[in-house]
Amino acid sequence: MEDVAVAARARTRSVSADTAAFDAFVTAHGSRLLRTAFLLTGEHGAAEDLLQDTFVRAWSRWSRVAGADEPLAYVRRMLVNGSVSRWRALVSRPRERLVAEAPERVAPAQPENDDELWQLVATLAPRQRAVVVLGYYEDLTDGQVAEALGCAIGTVKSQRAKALRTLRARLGEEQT
Amino acid sequence: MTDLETRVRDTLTDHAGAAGAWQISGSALRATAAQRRRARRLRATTALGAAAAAIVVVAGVSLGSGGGTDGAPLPAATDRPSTGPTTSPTTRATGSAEPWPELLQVPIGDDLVQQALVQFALGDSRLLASATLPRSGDTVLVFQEQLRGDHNSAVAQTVTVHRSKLLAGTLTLYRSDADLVAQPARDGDGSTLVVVAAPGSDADAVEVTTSLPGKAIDVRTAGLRGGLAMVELPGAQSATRLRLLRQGTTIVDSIPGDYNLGESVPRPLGRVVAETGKYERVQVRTNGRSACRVTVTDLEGLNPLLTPWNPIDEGCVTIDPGKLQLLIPEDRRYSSVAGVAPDGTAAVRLTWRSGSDTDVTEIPVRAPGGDIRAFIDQSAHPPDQLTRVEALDADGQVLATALP
Repeated sequence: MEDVAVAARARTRSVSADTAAFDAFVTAHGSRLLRTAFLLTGEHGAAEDLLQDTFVRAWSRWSRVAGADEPLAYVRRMLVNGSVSRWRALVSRPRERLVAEAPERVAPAQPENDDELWQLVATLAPRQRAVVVLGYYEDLTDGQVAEALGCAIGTVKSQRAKALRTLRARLGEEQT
Repeated sequence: MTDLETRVRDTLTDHAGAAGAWQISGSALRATAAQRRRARRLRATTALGAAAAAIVVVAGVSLGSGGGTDGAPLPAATDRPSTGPTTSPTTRATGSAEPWPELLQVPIGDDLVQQALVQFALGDSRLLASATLPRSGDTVLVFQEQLRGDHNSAVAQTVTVHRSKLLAGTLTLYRSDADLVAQPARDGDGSTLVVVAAPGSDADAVEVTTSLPGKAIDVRTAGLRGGLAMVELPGAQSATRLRLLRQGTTIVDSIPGDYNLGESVPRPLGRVVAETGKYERVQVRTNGRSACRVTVTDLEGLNPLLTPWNPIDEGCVTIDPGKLQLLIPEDRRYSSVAGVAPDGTAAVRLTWRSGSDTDVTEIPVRAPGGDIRAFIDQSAHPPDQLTRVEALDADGQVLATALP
């Protein structure tokens, strides 16, 4: 009977500590991760949904998150993977809508400033975009980016090179 | 880095600021996780139920509606928690957004600072203060970090250096323009409140009120030396009120770590009349007119992680000695039930329902020193399972009833 009570107390202690640790983690890192989510998705609502979903999943496996060498890196990896999965779900969903007449085509505008560079970043494939965001905004090393994306360092380098090549081409900077 | 890479980095940095601050609390996220789990269970149960119903229909058996022992209507409530007592917000006098100067009363090497930053994942924190703790003679380090993207919030952490070993203290959130940082550090077997006044403050002393159930309130005053003071505490969770003084006049009057407490919590709220829970303590605090339940933490054990120290999960009422009043936080899934019982109450009986299971717990109620009759439930039931609370006299007669 006493063993049961001891086990119950230990469990209560563990749950309480986990709860407090999770809450503190959300408070301490929520805004930072939201910025990353925003850069990965390009939309406020989508970023908030992505991060909320990430936090909810993180809580469901909190013992694993808290036991990781770097809990923030662990959750960031969940966030990045979530953004890629979300993109896959979106592109796999039928998005065409039948209309009676074809809409008038608008010629793509030429980017003129860095605000348009931001719009071009949004057109990158999700993995390339993640490499760019993690590398240039989060200042992660190639090794850390590779860990976050679950790929080889060589893949990070090639994805970044492709991303930059794409941006340069779309900016008309190939000569520079 | 090429010109394009520099532009990409600058563009990302510029636009990241537009993301704003994360507004959803950890408790709300945990509630969402619980809802999802329930929804999954419900879907599974519904599928099973549909199959069972089909079998029942085929068998020609009719199902009765309702039934069970819990179908009788509950008696009318004699009381419900009030929406909250009169608000008396913390006095603010010296709020400043200036960078806080370092208060290094003990020289600290960069290697030790770096070790603390890594060991406790302090991120971009800067060393705010170092000083010698009064009880153990160890050195306390206070780190402070402005939360990136949230200009209204800052976090402070205490770390104790004991024989070159770093011991975790507390982690506390503040407004960026807070008048002071005040939170416990591990000091030998006990804890000491470290107080750092904001830059620009002309306070010359700090007065700390501590309270333990059944004991007289203790008030200690310490001079601020270079903007820093330390006050030994009888328990890390015992500091209930803190005042900054200038020539004996109060210029700041606050509940330490009140960042997470809502406006319904009166300030000050100095006396602890009930306390339970060894690892995550729950207290009922009062100022004589109002009573609030809060969850607090302490530094017991050798937790390798910094202990979040802001009081949370408050539920308040204006005291009516003739009524049974419940103190239930807004989060009804992860907190616990507390309350204030009417005069003459010897015990309270709580009835819980979870699915088809009903459970009853009884808590003795005492009023040490003629104080208010506060109680805190220690069962594992969350408040959303509570169906009824009854105040009982010494003969077991019901004096009052309350419904959550």
